Amino acid sequence: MLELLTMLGAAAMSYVAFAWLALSQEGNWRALPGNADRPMPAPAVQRRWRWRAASMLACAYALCLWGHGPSFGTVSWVLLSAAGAMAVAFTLSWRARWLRALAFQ
Amino acid sequence: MGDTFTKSMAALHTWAGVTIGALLFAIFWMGTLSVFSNEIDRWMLPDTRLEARDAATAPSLDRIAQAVVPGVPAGARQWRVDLPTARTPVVEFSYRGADGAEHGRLLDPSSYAFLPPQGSAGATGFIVPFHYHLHLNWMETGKWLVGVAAMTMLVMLVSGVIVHKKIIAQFFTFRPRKRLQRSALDLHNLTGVLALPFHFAIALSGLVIFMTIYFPQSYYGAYGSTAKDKAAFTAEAYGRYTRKPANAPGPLASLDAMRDRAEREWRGGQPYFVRVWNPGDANSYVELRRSYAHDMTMNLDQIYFDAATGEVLARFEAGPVMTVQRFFSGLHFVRFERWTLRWLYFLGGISGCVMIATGFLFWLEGRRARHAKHGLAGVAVVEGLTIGSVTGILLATSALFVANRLLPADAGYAGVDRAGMEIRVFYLVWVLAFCHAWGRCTRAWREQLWAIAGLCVLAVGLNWVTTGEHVLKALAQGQFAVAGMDLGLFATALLAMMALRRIKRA
Repeated sequence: MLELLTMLGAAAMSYVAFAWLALSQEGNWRALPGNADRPMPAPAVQRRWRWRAASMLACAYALCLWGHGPSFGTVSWVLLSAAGAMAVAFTLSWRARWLRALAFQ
Repeated sequence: MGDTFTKSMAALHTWAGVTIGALLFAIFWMGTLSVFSNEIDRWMLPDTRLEARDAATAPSLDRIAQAVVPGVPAGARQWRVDLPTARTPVVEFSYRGADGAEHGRLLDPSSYAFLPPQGSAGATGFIVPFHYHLHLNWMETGKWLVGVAAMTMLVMLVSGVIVHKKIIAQFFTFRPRKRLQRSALDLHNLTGVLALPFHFAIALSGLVIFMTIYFPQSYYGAYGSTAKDKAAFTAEAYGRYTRKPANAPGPLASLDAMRDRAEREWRGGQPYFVRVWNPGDANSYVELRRSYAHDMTMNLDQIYFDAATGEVLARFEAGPVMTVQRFFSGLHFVRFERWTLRWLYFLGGISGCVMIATGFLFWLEGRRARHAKHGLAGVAVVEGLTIGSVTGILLATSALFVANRLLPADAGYAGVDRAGMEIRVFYLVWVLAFCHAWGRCTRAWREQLWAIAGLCVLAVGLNWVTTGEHVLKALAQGQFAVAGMDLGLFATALLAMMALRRIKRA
């Protein structure tokens, strides 16, 4: 059970982290409904999103290490990062409005 | 210089992809299925759908020996039992006869009775070896082809990163509503870039596993290149104790006592297989290997006992360099018991398959109009190759599963047994898929996707009819392997239908 919970937790963290990274890029931010004509958030906000993303990925790694040990934890984290980033890409293509919840400054 | 370099890398990426892509897809597809080989085995070998046992109730080795020893013919060099695990609830018994040929049977660990012959190689007997040697054993041709494909994969990953124009700007870009060429390239870049560490580690670790074949110089330098040198290297690197038979009869002491001793020596580590060498001889000896079900590194720990007295004859543990090699092997083999990570490996494998298939699609869509205008045959040839290698192998695999459920237990033809017939169905369908692809060109996509969807649903139905198990029943009984396989077949059918819809739009 711990295996599943830590994996799900780290997966959610990885998804949120990559969502912030994506939002910090103008093209992806504009893909959100209603953002096409709005001014892009200030560079300081973009930087904040990137810092949050990096911290979130670090937390995901810590959770993987805690739940799965150094070797399984590292491999899990690398694979979860790929899965999280891919899930964000698909969200941007099909359900971009979902990411609005994370676009807070 | 920069421009020429990028152009040459683009040419390398394109040509390597077009020539090796088909082979690479077959290896990736079979590798992806191999991640769940034991689960597919449960589906393909219904008699082995026994209740999983926990480690605390390990079966008695002495009772297993009582059951299997009468089946070992005189003059056999060795017999071996692989103990049940969480994923394989049966005892796998095999022996090597005096002629060197291997024979095997399965045993129920609760009743210590043999299961009837299964008439199927299952996934571990066909899909897994296909992944690493393509069943081409002559002069190790298959392993060399797989090695070339893995090396090409590494080359393509590096050249692909160099060729990619906007790796950061398009990190998350996927435009499914654009033209097929554009969507295919997006998906190719997405799966290639985001899963790059996985693809790189998998291709590299695949090469490291067969280091003695692909990089023999690594031990030639220290040991030499003759067969004797290789044996010396193998003994030191992988461990091997041997003792010649005395050609006089000898008894077999308690295997359970040897297991207890081994577990004490390994501080709780458990054996995963037991092998008795020179059985029945006074110089017979017993080999126990330590399980790596809970580690990434596939340890090489082994203990040898004198069969008659149960005294320890030799112990082996891998040295530091071999431990690194075994870590890479473990990273690739996915033998550890972690089902969540296993699923991530499966998804990684699927992303590799998507990367190869979309690479082909981008190549085809980029040239279709130009080749048609200039009367070039390139697109027609590569399209047939793509269809045959992508939908063709999926079709052949679905046909393998259907044949597995459809062939009668006593099936056999012209000296080929039931297991062999299943495999022949696979190859026959695959060859036909290539012929169909070259004959029908673009239309073959649609037709093969329909056939895949149909065969997958048929396989699920046949499993229900022939074994009485369907997804809900399997889930209720805790047969997650069977339920997962049925759901996987449904998912494949669904994805085939979605691909059909996308093709209609293109």
